[in-house]
Amino acid sequence: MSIWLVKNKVKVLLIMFVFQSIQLGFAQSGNTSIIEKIQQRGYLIVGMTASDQYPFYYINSLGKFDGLDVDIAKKVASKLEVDIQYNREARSFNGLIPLVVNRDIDFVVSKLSRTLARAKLVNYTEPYIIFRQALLLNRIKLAQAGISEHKIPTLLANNFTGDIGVIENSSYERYAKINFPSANVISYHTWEQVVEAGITGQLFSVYRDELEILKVIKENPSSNLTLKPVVLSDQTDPIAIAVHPAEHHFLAYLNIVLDEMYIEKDIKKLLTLYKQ
Amino acid sequence: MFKNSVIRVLTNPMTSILAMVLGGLIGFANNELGVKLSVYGEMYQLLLKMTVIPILVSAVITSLGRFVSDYSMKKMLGKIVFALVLFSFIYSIVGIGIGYIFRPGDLSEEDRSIVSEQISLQSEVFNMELETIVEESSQQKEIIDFLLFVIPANIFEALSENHILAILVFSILFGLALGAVPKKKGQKIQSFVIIFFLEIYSVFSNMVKYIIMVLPFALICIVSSEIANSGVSLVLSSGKLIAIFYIFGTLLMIINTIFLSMGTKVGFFGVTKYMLYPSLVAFTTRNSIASMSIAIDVLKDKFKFNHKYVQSTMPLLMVLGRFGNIFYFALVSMFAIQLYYVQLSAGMIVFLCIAVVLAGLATSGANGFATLGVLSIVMEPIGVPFETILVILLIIDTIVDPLRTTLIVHTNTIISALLHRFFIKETETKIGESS
Repeated sequence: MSIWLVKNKVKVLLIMFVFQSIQLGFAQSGNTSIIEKIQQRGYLIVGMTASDQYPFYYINSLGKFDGLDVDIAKKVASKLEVDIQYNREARSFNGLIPLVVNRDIDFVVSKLSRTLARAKLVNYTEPYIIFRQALLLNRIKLAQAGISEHKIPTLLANNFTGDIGVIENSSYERYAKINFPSANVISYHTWEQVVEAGITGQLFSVYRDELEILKVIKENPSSNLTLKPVVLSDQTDPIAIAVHPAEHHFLAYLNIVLDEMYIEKDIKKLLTLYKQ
Repeated sequence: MFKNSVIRVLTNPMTSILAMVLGGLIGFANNELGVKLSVYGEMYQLLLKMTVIPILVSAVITSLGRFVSDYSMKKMLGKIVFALVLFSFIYSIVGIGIGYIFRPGDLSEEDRSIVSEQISLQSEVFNMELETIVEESSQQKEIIDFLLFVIPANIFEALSENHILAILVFSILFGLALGAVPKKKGQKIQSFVIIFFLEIYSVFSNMVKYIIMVLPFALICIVSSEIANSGVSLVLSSGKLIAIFYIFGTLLMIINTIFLSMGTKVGFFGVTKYMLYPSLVAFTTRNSIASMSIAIDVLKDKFKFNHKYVQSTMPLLMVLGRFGNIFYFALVSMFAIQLYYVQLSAGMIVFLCIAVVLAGLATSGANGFATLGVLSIVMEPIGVPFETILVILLIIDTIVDPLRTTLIVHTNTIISALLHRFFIKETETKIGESS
């Protein structure tokens, strides 16, 4: 065999060259970028939770599917020159993670919080909006305790012992126990119940992200007379897009799209920009 | 003479009223012009403001100097203080009573929403850092801190920083001390100082008179720019408070006028006619010190009162008689209590009556929206969130301020006239007769 190889060097080299090319060819198709797949497919598959989240993805009063996340998805689709298909199977935010890992969806843009637990499984873009944690304080209870605005930091940062209303089994139930260890944390089944207790004056405070807090004021117009929003500027909740952990090129691409888009970061302005 | 008739036309109240109507029409019909004219209105207000401190200082010093040195005036001091206290508490109690009966703070759900929305539009959301170490700042505001705040270490610093209360404290102390310097035979020093300040007073008061002569033109600019800029919705929601204030404030002025005019030759309408010009000046300029000069002239020329008496009593009254503010603060307290469904107790009502008078006193010499902050001493002890109330008050202040100033000027003028009528026996003049 070896004598044959030496005697027919040119033929051997040719055969090796052909095999290498075939192998390279296979390697290329095995590593086809998700971008190419999407373009070949003709549509983008975007993952969002089943229930609407105003102002990120929701049906507006004109019946149109609108919101910040919808605009981001549309931008990516238009840049790739494809259509969009929305996958709304996930019943919870955590439910979106397996979908992107299993490549059922191309990416998640769904008011998704960037947490370390999730980051072990998926790749996150840079956050495109950063929420801060916030509270709604009862103005009347503040006035009765003689606490004016400049005294609020002292009240909250030093052994706050008042009531804090939160949603049960939410991240804010956990944050409340960590940030306000001496406070009386009261958990309710739904956000509506928490808000009700806050408005009717049963609680000293209510705790969630600044968007939901400001939404309470917006949706219950007369509540600003009795409830004071307070933002904790050093406690953050970053929102980002999630992709499959192997898709580095796609991740870089999405980061560029986000960078080039104008995204309203101000929560108050966001609420007026997208009309219910 | 042409000049005299021009002056007569310009200073006629009807001219000013016509000017206001014209300004209103311009502002309504041509928004842009109205906004452009606002600069001239501001210029005018600044000119008047320029005269406030000189008049205030010179008037207070000379008036108090006289009170201490002149025996006949000394007798009046007790009566003046009594009248001030009496009227202050009457206005406070009446204001609280009217607020209690007519309920300005009972807003419909819709009005509450509008008010609430305005508050969130006008105020930034409060940001704080949870993890910075915050020191317990013992910022308890005691009375002693207030006194420290109000006594000027450097009078020239107080003058240049427009720190009105400190300037007042200085003027009062200076005037009292000046009057107490014993008159040595032949020594003219004390008289010289009093004459110096009297001259300053008459110079600036003349300046005011000339400035007021062009009031009609300024009114066209001021009113047109305000109509062009007005924001209607919050005004309508707090309309009840504004309406109650205007109706009952005017009623108080009418009652005072009736009280003064009883048994006089000119009667109610005569007195009203005399009072019309100073009231109009107060209403349109919102400057009680500038209006004081006009009121003093009316008391001297129209009512024919003793000049020394008028010159001495009016500054003191104008500075300490904050009746418009007292009445408004009383109504506002009830408004806030009703808005926040605070339970009223008898003790709270007594506290309110006194606190409102004190708050009114703390606005001495100053005017306008800067004085609204003193209401915190009324609101905080009764557990009303003052932050939100303040926002509402600041927005409606342009509408309320004219009547507040007019009430102050009108009531003080009436008190001065009443005291003169009942206690000054030297000249025995009846109102309307020439001496």
